[in-house]
This record gives sequence, C-alpha cells and structure tokens, in this order.
Amino acid sequence: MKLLIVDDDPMILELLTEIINATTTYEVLRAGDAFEALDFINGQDGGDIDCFLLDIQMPGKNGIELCREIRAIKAHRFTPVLMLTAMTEKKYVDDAYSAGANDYIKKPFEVDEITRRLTLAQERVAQQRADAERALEEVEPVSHGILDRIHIHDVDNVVDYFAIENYLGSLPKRSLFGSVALSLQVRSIDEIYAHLSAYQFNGLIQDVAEAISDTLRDFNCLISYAGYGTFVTVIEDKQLPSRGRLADEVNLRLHTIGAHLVLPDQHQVRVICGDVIRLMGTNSERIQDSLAQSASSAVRIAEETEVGLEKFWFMGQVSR
Amino acid sequence: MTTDVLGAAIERLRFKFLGLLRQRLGVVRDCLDKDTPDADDLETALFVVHKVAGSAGTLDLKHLGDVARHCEESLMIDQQETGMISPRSRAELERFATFARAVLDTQRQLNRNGPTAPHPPRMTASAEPSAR
Repeated sequence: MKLLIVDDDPMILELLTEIINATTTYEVLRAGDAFEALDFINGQDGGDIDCFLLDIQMPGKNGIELCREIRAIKAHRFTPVLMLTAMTEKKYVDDAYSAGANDYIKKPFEVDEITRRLTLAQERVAQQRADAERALEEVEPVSHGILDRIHIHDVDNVVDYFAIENYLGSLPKRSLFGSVALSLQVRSIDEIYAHLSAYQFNGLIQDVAEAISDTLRDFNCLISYAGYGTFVTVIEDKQLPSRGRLADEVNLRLHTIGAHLVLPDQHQVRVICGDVIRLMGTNSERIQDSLAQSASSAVRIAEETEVGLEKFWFMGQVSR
Repeated sequence: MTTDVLGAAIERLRFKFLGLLRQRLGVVRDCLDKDTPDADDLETALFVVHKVAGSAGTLDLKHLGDVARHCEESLMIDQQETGMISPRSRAELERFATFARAVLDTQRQLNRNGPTAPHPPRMTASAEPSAR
C-alpha cells in the first residue's frame, strides 16, 4: 500500500517517513508541494496511492486546493485524505472537510496519533470502497437498507458521517461550543422506502441532500446523511435559521426539483427539523452522543407530526 | 522496525532539527537587528516560526514549539492587519530567539557532559528550559 505525504517542510517529511515506516506497512512517497504531488498522482502509478497526508499551508497551492483536486479524480473519490496542519482556526477546518478531507491532525502530532488515525481512516474507507465496488458490479442498482448511510457524491458541504464526527473533534473548543447539531428528517420515510425501488430511493436521498445543501448555502455548515432519511447538520449557533423556515425552504426546493414525482400519487416529499442540540463535549463519545440525540429528535418529531395529522383527520371525520 | 529504532530515528532528527534551528535563529536575529523590518522580513520570520512550531513538539521540544506558536499567531495578525512587524510581535520574536538560544545552549551542555553515544543525548521536556 502506498501513502503520499505532501509538506513543504523537509523535517516533517522525514519525521513522518520514519514514523510511518516504523509503525505501518505503507510504502511512503513524498512531495514537497502540491504541484509535485499532482505529478505523482497524475503519473503512471498515481491511481495506486492508498492514502494522502496533506499539509495545508504550502506555497503556490495549499493543501485544501490539492485535496479538492484529488477528490475530483475518480480513482481517489474514496481514498483517505488526512490533513496535517498547524492551522487550527475554524475556517481552515471547515474548508478542509468541505474539500473532502476525512480527518484533520494537528501539528505538533504524537507518534501514536498518526498511526491510530491512519488505521481508522483506512478501515472506514475500505468499507466505503467495498460498497462502491459492489455497486459498480451489480447490474441492478444496489439496494440499501433503510438504515444504511448512503454515500452522497458531489453535493456541496455534504460529507460522510464519520468525517462529520472527525470534523467536530478537530474544531477549536470555542468553535465547537459555539456550534449546534440540527437534524432534518424526511417524513413518512418507511412508506417512501417501501414504495420506491433502490434506484429511486437513492435518487430521492440525493435530491434531499441537494435541497438541504442549497438552502444552507450561505451558512457555515456541514451536512451528513445518517440513514433512515435523517440528515444531520452542524451549524454555527449565531447563524442558526429558524427551524420552521429552514424546513419550509427545503420543502419548497424539493417540490421545485420534482422530488415528489417518483412517489405513488405524487405525494409531496417533506422534511421536518429536530431539536437544536448544543455541542458541549470535546471527546468522541460526547460528540457521537450529541449527533445521535440530534438525529433521534428529528425522527421523534417527524413521527409525532404524522400521528398528530392522523388524529386531526380522524377527528375531522367524526365531526362531520 | 521496533520502537527502539523509531526512538533512534527521532533522536537523529532532533539533532538535525537543532542544527536547522541554529540557522533559523540567525535569520530571526537578522530581522530583529533591523531598525524597521519590512513586509519581507515579516514573511521570513513567519516562515521560520511556522516551521519550528510544526515539528518541535513531536521532537520532545514542546515548550519551544509553544513559544514559536505564540509568535506565529502574533505575526499572522500583523500580516492581516498592517503587513509589518508590530511591537508586540517583535517582543514575541525576541522571546522566541532567547528561548531557542537557551535550548541550543542546554543541548550543547548536555552533549559536552554526556557519555559518548552514537546519537546526541535526548532532550526531554525536563531538560528543555521552561518557556515561562
């Protein structure tokens, strides 16, 4: 397996090479800037690279731009990209994850941290890659379970669920505590799932992702699909739009793009917002708990809304 | 490769880093010796402290890394605001230069007193001068 390290500091290149050679089975490739890295990647064996470690602050082209270019290459859509940087400000963290980074390691780093993060990234991406390869081999579109976290491609600010956990762990404390998790739930997801083919369901989830992404275009946020029709967003508290307005705008966009056209009787596809969950803990368990709490509140509110509507219609019939 | 081999490699890199630090310290001193450092001097100083901040901590020179980081943050503010080194950053650079000099002196002392070994003595956090 090959790993490409890109950093303009020869000391870091040498240090990482020693650490990775000593603790992993990777064959290490090194580049002193983004242009040299692109030469490697676009070269004959460029598609064989299994992992990238990118510095952010480099002369000429920075690591975030490089990450975006790597993600645009089909062979590296799932390859782990770990940013390795001293830049801890929220803007850099946001930009790195938006560009497609899977993880963010702060300099100076511990030796153990490098190997732990590399192993984690590799495990997670191996799963994604296996799913994607299975999808390519199938003649019929792959059927996902309703709880599966379908991978969403090429939608602005939509990242995979593990990346959003890593993102929150990478934020400076002040920024983390100033952020909230807010989930949006597709209403009547069980019925929708039951009525649609695998291809249609995947397309619908993609449509909802695009509608949420477009609605939140002007906000500093990341979005992830958590399965079961639930999208988790992380957004700055001071920017938080009203939940009702946010859901209305997403629903309007869903109608405009014709998400309902695949449903029987063309029922409208609608989302509803969950509770606003303040992010209070910096460790990964607390972060996972907060995200799960956010997602489950959206599911609960969506169910309560459906039950409320049923009661409303039932009472309407009685009174007639 | 074993942990011992990795430890030896880090010792070797620390030795190399300290050699580079001596050169980088000279660059910072040149900036500080100017009466009116310009935007290029700011860039140069920022480059030096950024590099030191990025790798010192991993090489068991945590305090030096912290001092360099403070200096870098101050210079980055200057870069955004005026493009010139402010008195605040100048003071931070002086602190960095003094601290880096102390690290190099401590290391030289350790080398002089220590047993002849294939690698220079390891500078632990306690052997490193206090940042405060």
